[in-house]
Amino acid sequence: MNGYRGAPRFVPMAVAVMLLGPLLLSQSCGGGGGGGSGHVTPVMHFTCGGAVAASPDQISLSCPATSGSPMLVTVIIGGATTSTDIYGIKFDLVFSPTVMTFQAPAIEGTFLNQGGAATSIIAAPAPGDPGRVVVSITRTGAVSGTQAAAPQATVITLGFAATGLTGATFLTFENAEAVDDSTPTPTPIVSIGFTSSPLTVSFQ
Amino acid sequence: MRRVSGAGLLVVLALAGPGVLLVAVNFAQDSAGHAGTKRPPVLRARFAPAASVPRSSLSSLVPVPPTFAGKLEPLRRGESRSPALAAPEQTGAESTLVPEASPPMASPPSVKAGTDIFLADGSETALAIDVSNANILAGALNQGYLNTPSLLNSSNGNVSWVPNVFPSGAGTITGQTFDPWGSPGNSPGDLFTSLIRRDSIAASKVTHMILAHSGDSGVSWSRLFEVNKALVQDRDMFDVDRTATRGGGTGAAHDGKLYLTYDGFSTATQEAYVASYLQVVSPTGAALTEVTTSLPPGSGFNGTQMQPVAGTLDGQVYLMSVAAAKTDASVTYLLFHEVTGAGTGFTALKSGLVFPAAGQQLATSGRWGLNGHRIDTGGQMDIDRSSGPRRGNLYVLSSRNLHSADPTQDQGDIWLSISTDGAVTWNEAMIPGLAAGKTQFFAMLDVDDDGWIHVAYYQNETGLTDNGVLNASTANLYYTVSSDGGLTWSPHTRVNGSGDTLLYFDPPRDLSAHDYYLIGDYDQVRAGRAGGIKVAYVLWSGYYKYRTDIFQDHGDYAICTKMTPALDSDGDGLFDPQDNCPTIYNPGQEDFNNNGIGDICECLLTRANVDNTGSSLNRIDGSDLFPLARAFGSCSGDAAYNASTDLSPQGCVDGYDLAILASLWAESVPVTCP
Repeated sequence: MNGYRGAPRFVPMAVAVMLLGPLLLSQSCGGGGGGGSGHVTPVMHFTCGGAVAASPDQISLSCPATSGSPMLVTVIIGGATTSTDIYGIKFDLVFSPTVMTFQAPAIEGTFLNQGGAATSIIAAPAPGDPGRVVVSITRTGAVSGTQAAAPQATVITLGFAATGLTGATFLTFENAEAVDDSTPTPTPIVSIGFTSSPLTVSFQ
Repeated sequence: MRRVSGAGLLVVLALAGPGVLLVAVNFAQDSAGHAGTKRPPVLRARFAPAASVPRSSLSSLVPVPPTFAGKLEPLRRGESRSPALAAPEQTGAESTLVPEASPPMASPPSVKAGTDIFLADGSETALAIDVSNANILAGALNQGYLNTPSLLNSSNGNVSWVPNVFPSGAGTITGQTFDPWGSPGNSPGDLFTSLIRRDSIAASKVTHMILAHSGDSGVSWSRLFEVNKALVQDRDMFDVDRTATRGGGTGAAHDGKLYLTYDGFSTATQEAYVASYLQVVSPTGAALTEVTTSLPPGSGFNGTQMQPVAGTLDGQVYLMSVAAAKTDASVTYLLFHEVTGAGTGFTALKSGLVFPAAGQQLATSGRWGLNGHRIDTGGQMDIDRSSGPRRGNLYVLSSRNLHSADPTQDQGDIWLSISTDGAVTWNEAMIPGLAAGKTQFFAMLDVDDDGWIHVAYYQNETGLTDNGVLNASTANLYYTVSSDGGLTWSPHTRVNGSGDTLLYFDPPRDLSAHDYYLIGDYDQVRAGRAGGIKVAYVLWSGYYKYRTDIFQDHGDYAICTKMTPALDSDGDGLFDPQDNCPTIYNPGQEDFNNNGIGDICECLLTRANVDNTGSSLNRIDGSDLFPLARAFGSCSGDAAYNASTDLSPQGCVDGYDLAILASLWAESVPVTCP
C-alpha cells in the first residue's frame, strides 16, 4: 500500500432497500438463564433516568427506566412548536463508549415525515470517537417544513448496545440545531431548543 | 485519515407514503490502495469534421471486388487441390517456407490457453448473442470448403460449442456456405444467422442467401427465408427491427421485421455486378418490400456490400455501402443511405466518407490486402440504441492507411467516425492507443445496449521486412472499449492467447491464382450482459501457417474469445484503471496539484463541507446535509438546484450525492483545496 492518505475514494459496497416497518429493534434480555452448574449468572441490564417532560419548542431525550441491550433512546420534540417550518434536525449524542455503543439502524419517528414527506436520515459514530454519534434527519426535496403538534412528536429513535462493562454515563446533546425550509440553505431556528439535562444511563 | 465504518453508518431515505426506503451505504474503501500506483494514460480521441464527399466524385465510383472471388472458384469438396495452395508451397517463396523447427500441427486444440476457444476450420465468422443472456451464443462460419456444420451454438458463454447444420435452401441450394452474419431477435432465445449457399449443381453459379432462425437459444435451426433471385448473391447481411424495449422506435408496426441486404452478380460472368438489394422479411418469414439499393455505375450506383443497421425509429434502417474510385483502387468510399417505413422510403447517398484503405495492392491484381491476402476495405457500422444522451449516434469503424504512398511504414490504423445527425455529417478520429508504427486492420465494432462501443482489431507485430507493416510473420488481436461515445478508450487488451498468435508466411505465398484468398471480411465482436455482467465476445479468424486443415489448403480457423470490459464505475467515460478518481464522476480529470489524485476525490471533503460555519465548522454533519436535502431531486437549470451540493457533479442532486455525503459523515475537514 502506498502512503497517500489524503484523498478519499468511495465505492458503494452495499445498498439494501427494504421497508422500514419490520425494522423494529428486538428487545433482548441482558443475560442468560442459569445452567446446571449450580451458580447463577446475574441478569445485566440498562437503567436510565434524568428524562425531562416534553415542553413546547424543546427537543429532549427519553428512555425506558430499565432495558435490556440494546436500549432505545427516543428523541422527542414538544409541541405545539412556535415554528411551523421545521425542515431538519441535527445533533450529536455524546456518551461514554466504555459503557455502550451506538447500534444502527436509527428508526425514523413520526414528526418530520408527517404528511408523507420524504426524509433522509444519517446517523453514524464520529470517526475515531465512538462516544459520539452524529445524527441528522431532514425532509428531502422542495417541500415545506412542518410543525410539531402538542403534546409531543417522536423525531427519531436510536439504539445503544452494552459493551458488557458495567458502569454509568451521561447522554447529552451537542452541536444541535433545528433548521427551517429556507432555500438554498436551511436556516437555524433559534426558538427550537435542546434540553441541557442529560440522561443518566448505567449498565449493571 | 480514518474512514467511516460501514457497520455503523446508516442512511435512510424515506419516500412519500407508508413505504420507507432504507438505504444502507458503506463507502469504507480507503484511497490508499490507489495512491502512487502507475495508472495507464487516458486515451482521448481527437475528433475533427470528416471531409464531405462531393457528389461529383460519386459518378466515378465503381464496385469493390465481390467477396466470393477467392472463395467460390478454387475448390469444392472432393475436388483436386490447386497446386498453388498445396503445401508445401510450389512458388518462388518456398525456400523460406520449408517447415522450420516447429512441427506441423494437425489442428489447434479444442480449448486454447486462456479463453480462446477453437470452433472449427474457417475464415469468416459471425456471432449473435441472446438479448437477455450473453452466455447464449450462435456462431456462423465459412468453413473453408467444408459444407457442414457452419453453425454452432454455445449455452455457457464460450466454454463449449455444439455444432449444428445450417439449413439448406430449396432444391439444389445445398452447397457450401460463405458470408456469415448473425443477430439476436427481440425476445430471449430468439437468434438469427445467415449464410450464402451455393447451388450444388456443379455447373451452376447461383448462390442464395439463406436466413436461419432459432427460437430455442440456438439449439435447433430452421430456414426462415431464402432469397431466390437467380444471381450470384454475395455479401449478405441483415438486421432486426428492434422493439421499443430493445432500443427501437416507438410504434410497433415494423417490430421484428428483418432487413436483408446482398449484392447480385451475373451468373454468366460472376463479377459482372447487377444490383444490390434490401429485402424486407416479416418475422414469420414472408417476403415484404424489396428495394433495389444500387445499380451498376452510370445507372444509379450507390455502392455495394451494404450493411443494414436498424435505426432508432420504427421501420428505419441505415445502410452503409462500399465503393472504390475508378482511377485509384487505394481510395475507399463508404456511402450512407437511409430506409424508412421498412422500405417505403429510400434516401440514397446521404453522405460519404473517403479514405485510403489499409494495406496495398496485391501485385498488379487490383485487389487490396495485407500479409498476402485480400482484406476487407470497408468498415462496420452500428448505432447507439440506449436511452442515454448519445442515443441515435451512428458509429463507423474503418481501417485506413495514412502511408499509402510508402509501404515501408505503418499500413493501417483504426478510425472511428461518428454521426449525430442521422448520417448527414460525420466527425472522425483515430482510435487512441493504437501501437505506433504498427499496422492495424480488420476492425470490428459493436455498440451495446448501454451505448458502449466495443472494438476489436488485428495488428501486425513482426516481420522480416519493415517490421512486418505490410507482410507480417506474426499478428495479434486486440480489444478496447469506450463508454462515452468514443471520446475516451480503455487500455487496449490483447484478445488472443500467446499460443494463438497468428503466424503468417513471411514473405507471403503467391496466391494470385486464387485471387489472394480473402480472409477476415467477416469477423465480429458482440457485447451484452450475462448475469448482469457486461461481456464481449470476439469471434475471429486465426492463422497458423504450419497447420493443414482437412483440405490441406489454408491455415485459418475460427476462434471465439470472451472479454470482460473494463469498468467505468462512475460513468464519466474514464475506465477505472485510467481514472484519477474512479468512483466519482469527473470527466475532466482535474488535478490541481498534479499528484495523480483527481481533485474531485482529493477535495471532496472540502466540497462536501457545504456549510462551514458554527457547529459544522471543519466537519461534515447535518448542516451539510440540509442544503443537499433541500436541493434533492433537482437538476441543473431547476430553481432548486444547488451546485455546491452536487458532489458528484453530474448535473443533478440525487442519491449518489447523498451517499457521498453519508460516506464522509462526521469527518473532519483538514485539507485545503481550490
